Formats: sequence, C-alpha cells, structure tokens
Amino acid sequence: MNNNEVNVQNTQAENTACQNPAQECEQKHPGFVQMMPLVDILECADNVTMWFEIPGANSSTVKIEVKEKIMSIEAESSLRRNGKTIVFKREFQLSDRIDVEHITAKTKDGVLTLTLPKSESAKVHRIQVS
Amino acid sequence: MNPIMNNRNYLAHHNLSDLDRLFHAVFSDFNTFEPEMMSSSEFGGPSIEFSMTDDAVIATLPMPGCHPANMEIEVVGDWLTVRVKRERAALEKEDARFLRRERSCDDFEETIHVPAKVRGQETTAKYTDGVLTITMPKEVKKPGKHIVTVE
Repeated sequence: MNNNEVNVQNTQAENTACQNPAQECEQKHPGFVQMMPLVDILECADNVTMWFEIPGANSSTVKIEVKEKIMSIEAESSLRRNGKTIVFKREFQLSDRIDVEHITAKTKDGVLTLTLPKSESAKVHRIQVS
Repeated sequence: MNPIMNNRNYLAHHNLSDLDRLFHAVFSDFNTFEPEMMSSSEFGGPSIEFSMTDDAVIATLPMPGCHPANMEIEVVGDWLTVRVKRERAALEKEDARFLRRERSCDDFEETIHVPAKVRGQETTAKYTDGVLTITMPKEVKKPGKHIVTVE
C-alpha cells in the first residue's frame, strides 16, 4: 500500500456491543430510528472529500465530532419512518495523516460535504527531475 | 412502493458491497469494519411515501443532491409519476480516486397510485434539504363536523 494514502476507515466503535443498532438507538433515544447514511469518499493529493446523503437534515441538525481519531457524524432528519424520526449516524476512524484541526463541513440539498485536509507530511510532493 | 425500483436499488448497492469487500481484501491495511447497521439502501432505496391531512395528500421522496430543474412530476387522475435525473460528478483532478462509492446516480422513476382523489392542476411541489415534497389537494374535502343538539 502506498505510504501516502490517507485512510478513512469505517468503525464500529459504538456498535460492537449491540447486534442490532436500530434497537440500540431505540433504547438510547426512544422515538428515533437510526440509519447509516450512504457515503462517497474521494481522495486527492491534498485532501479527502466525503459526501454523506442525509435527506431531511441540514446544518442546524448535523453534529460532527472527532474524538481520539474517531469522527462521528450524526444528523437528525425531518423524515420519519413508522412514526419515528430518522437519525443518520456513521463513524469513521481517521488516519494520523488527516489534519483534524482543519476539517470543514457544509450541507446542501440533503448532502453533507466534509473536506479533510491531509497533514503536510501526507501530501504528495512531486519532484521534477531536471 | 414500486418493487421493481426498490429491488434494482437494493441490488445496485449490494453489488457495491461486493466491490468493497474485494477492495478491502486487496488493501488489508484498511482493516475496515462494516457496521451491521441498517443503511438507506437496505430500506430499498428511495421511494415515495404518502401522508394525509384533512385537505391534501402529501407525498415525500428523499432525493439528496439533486436539482429541481432535473425533476418532473405528473399527476394523471389519481396516479402520480415522479422522474428525477441524477448525475454523478466527474473527477475534476487527475490524481483523484474514489475510496468508496455508495451513493446511487441512477435516474429515478416511479408511478404510484395516490390513496385519494386529488386535484392535479392545484398540486404544488418543493425541494428542501434533499427531500421532494408534493402536496396534492384532495378532490372532496372531508365533511365538516356538525354537532346537532337534541331538543
């Protein structure tokens, strides 16, 4: 594997204890149903961009947290399923090569876009041979 | 719910999961743990859901990342058709590569029976936070409540 690759790994940090996360969510937050948002992840030379589908959620209902290299995304949607509010939730383990301090996020039309810049040491430096 | 549409989306995402598994097998460093969570795709992809008020039938369709100009809505009698064109963004940079691609870019089309008689010409639609909401006024309003006093 290329040393310059920056991994963004799915994690099950919170879900290992429970086989059925929807049930777990129900216990933690009655009246909510938890769903995993679909994601596209694009890696470029300088950063990694992630697009999450969170229909019915917007900047005021999205929570993003990075703790001990685990990034949690939680977004409460206006959509309901079986009378319960849908909460989109997903966690990723970030590599050391992500500059956590400078992650930016925006939402538009139910899509959350996260830009995770690579730390200086992880960026690709191409040297021209003269 | 349209079973064909749902099935197609379901299969599309499951094929992607196979690719993911292959990807992770090759790049074992990823050590990715797929959460055994319900994902949007496991609910069968996007589908139209109805709710009712006294005056209208409201259809909602989660369709994140689209543009209203790419949406077509038709009401014929008590049948509703929704067509949405979705485009997948092209790679802007040569050195860019996708590590994961779960989002669908398939065009969406569904024709569904509206569970009440509605006035098609007065139907309105709005697109907010990636959710398309179609409001169809009912043909016959629910009769008002009349309280009759017994003398």
